[in-house]
Amino acid sequence: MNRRTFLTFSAGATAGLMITPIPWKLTDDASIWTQNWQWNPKVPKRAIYFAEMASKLDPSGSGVKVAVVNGNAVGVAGNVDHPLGKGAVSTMAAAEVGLLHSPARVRQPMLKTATGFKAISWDEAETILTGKLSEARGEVAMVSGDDTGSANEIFAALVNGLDGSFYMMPGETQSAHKALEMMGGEGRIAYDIENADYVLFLGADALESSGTSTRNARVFSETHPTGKAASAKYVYAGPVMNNTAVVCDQWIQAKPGAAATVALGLSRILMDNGAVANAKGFASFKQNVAQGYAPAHVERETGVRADVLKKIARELAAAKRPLVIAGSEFGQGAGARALMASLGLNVLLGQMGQSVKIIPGAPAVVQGAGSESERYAADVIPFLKGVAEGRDGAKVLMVYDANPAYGLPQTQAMAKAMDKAAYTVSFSSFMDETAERANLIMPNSMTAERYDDLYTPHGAGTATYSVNKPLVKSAFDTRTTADVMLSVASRLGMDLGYASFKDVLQAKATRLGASWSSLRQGKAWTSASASSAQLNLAPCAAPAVRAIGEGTLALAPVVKHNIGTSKVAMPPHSAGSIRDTELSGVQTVVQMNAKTARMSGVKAGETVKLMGPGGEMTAQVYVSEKVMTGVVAAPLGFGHTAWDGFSKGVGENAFKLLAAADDPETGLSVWSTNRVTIATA
Amino acid sequence: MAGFKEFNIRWSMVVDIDKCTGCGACMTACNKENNIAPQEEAKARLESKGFPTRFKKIEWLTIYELSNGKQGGDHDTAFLPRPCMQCGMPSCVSVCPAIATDKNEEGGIVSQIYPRCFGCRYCMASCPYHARVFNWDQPIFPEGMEKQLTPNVSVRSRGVVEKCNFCHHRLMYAKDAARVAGEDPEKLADGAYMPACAEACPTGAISFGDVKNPEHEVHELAKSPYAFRLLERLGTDPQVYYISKREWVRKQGDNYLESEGAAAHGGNGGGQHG
Repeated sequence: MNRRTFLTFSAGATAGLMITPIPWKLTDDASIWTQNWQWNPKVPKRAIYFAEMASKLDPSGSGVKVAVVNGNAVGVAGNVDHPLGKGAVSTMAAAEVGLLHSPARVRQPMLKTATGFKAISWDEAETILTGKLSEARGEVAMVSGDDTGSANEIFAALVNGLDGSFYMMPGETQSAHKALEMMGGEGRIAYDIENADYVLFLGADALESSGTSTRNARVFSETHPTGKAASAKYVYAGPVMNNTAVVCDQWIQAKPGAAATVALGLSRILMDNGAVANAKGFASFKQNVAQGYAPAHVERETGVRADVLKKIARELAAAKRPLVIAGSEFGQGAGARALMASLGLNVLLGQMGQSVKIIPGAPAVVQGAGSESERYAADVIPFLKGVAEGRDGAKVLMVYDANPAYGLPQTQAMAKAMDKAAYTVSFSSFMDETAERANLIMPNSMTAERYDDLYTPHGAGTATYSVNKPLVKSAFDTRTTADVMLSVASRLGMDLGYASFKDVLQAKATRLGASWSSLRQGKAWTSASASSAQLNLAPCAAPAVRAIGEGTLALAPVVKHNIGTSKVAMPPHSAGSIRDTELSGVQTVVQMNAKTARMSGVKAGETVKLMGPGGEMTAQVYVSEKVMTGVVAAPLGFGHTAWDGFSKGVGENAFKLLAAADDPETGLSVWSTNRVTIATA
Repeated sequence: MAGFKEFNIRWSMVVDIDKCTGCGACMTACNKENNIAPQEEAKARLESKGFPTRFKKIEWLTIYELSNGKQGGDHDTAFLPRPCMQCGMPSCVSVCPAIATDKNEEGGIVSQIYPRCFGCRYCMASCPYHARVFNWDQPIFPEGMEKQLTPNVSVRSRGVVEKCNFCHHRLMYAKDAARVAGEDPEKLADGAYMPACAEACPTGAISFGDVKNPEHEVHELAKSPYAFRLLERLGTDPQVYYISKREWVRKQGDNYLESEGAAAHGGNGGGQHG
């Protein structure tokens, strides 16, 4: 080959390569076939069906549609017909379906042995529980965290039949029951936010974690149409610019746990300006409020400037349909004071029966269960403290739909109670901190897998009732706890009057006057009936509980449902939405403003130790003006020691810092006014 | 730059920043809808922050937190959800050597064809919005969770770039539904096609529709004097609009000089669509 031939050949080869499709085809094939590995998950090729469900993991009870493919739940969509969902999908409802196959799920009944848990059959589990309960008669206790379900009636009837004690987990529903009881009412507090033209949230994080937040958010959206003028004014008063405050028309900085005092301060201004109420106990209320709660006093106590308080009072008085919604900034620990004070203020504004209504509670259908108010009467905190300290005995302690070993103040004592109780039974769907400590786990099926119901969460506008039926195949060998307990009751020789939980739900529907077939199809029942009973205002003006602890800063726990709730850890599908300002690496981030950081001698990014009356935690500091001066904001939801790889060991649990104080007059523990000391770690 | 096609339909999102609480419901709904694998190794990634781990996060929609930078009572915060902008002049399309991403379908959604992508990531480098993400790892679902994959969206392999496509499968469903109902699939009613994030949003911060269709709400919203688009002066012509009555928020939507006001859309007010 001479030079010329070589060059000709080379040029030909180059041109040929340029023209031939072979390299491009090979590249294309390579990209296709290297994505076609057998271990890549394949999506199903089947039709999608939608079925209605009311979310039981979402505390706001929002109704959604579940997308079902081949018996598996694959997604959720909004349900515009549901009064609590109004077409939206809350963070927790969106994540709920993804949790069906969460790595944290308990897959079958488990019995604790010396070497760990071992799987047992349902028959064995029921036999063991029946034996333990019959031996423990008189010293049986049960704690339930389900604020909306009829399952509580079965549990209460069973426990009452064994002369035991039944407790509900503390929260807004318990606070509301206690507030109404003290004011001579009964039922549930309903907020007609749909028709309000001025809404004042006192502490209550009502667009994220308080009350019917999904519905509230939708109403907020309707009153604040994009690109147009708002038809209602929303004001938030609290220590942190949280998810509610950030979109409200005005954020008023108020110290943690200040709701009651601010409400009474506003009442004082209104009464000074001549507001009266034709209500029982008004004279006593007026006298007590006049003795304290002058704007200057309220400013000192709560940080709300006197001029701001006066302006809000003027705006409330001028509004046609004002509405005041009060509560704890993190959904628990406010006791009954904030609600009573806000009800007093709503009465003064002439809104009782208008923006605020008292609607009937759920009628009891299981004999021996007692009334709803009776079930909420006892405070679980002193009981669990007593068990931890060995004062109260609990031969069998059962826990349903709650995680007291994680989500209560004085967390270590609550966890210790689980260890100290002679025999602990968890009905959790997940291997949570409480289940991990239990002697026996009898896993509950999840919402989409079981029959269950949902009656009027705290703060709904009207009485509502939804029934859930199994929509998908059970992912694991789990059962509906209500059915399990009916079976256990039968083994104990107790007749609760029903063979299955479904029968209980049918009886409830009949009692409410709702159509069973319509409920079963996922249609929610609503009722406009409201009580006309007058509330007694006399107990509304009691002073708020003092600060708990001697720390230099007020602690503002913050709840965000993408991080989790007190009973559910961060769902896998929400893990990506955690912000750097909440979690840095695996360290919890606490927020304070620049002035507080200077006062405390800490810098942004620094690791600090927070010392509260309940315990300590380390965290990283993020300086943000979203927190008022003198306050440190800590996210709740991190620091799990159980669950799965998505949440275990991520951050620290801020519940540890909190301690509960007694409020003898209301009989409910309070922990919304904790103080902490901060030091560089 | 060569011009891109003009379409009769322009699917657009209008995000009212003043209504976004930053709750993350849109992100969770997006992850579930689009079969984005929950990253089990999320914790390890969190522990080892910094490059490249923080860029390994797979999410199609990111919520940014904005601050006006002021202290005390003057401080203000806003949340800005950022999906793919589905640009009218998409810089990612021009640079793709494999034609794995294209803007060629009525409606203007920028496509991403996974089997064609060989992972060069030029598109990621060119996207000024950081809307694209790369699969550094195999998509691994916790055991059993693969049974819950939606039939609508294929699971992407390692080595592939992915991004938000306005839940394009929902557009296909909406068109099918229109055909079944005997309606014109190219004239969908307002609300007939809605991405998962817009549907989920509890505060209704995300509106969606055809910005060129006067019967769709977004048509008017995008013309609002408070409307703006991100980095609009780059000329990418995004199909995602934002609305905020707060000037400081609008100013953060682009790089303004100190002497400039946040004059949305070059000062003429409203979107220059159509």
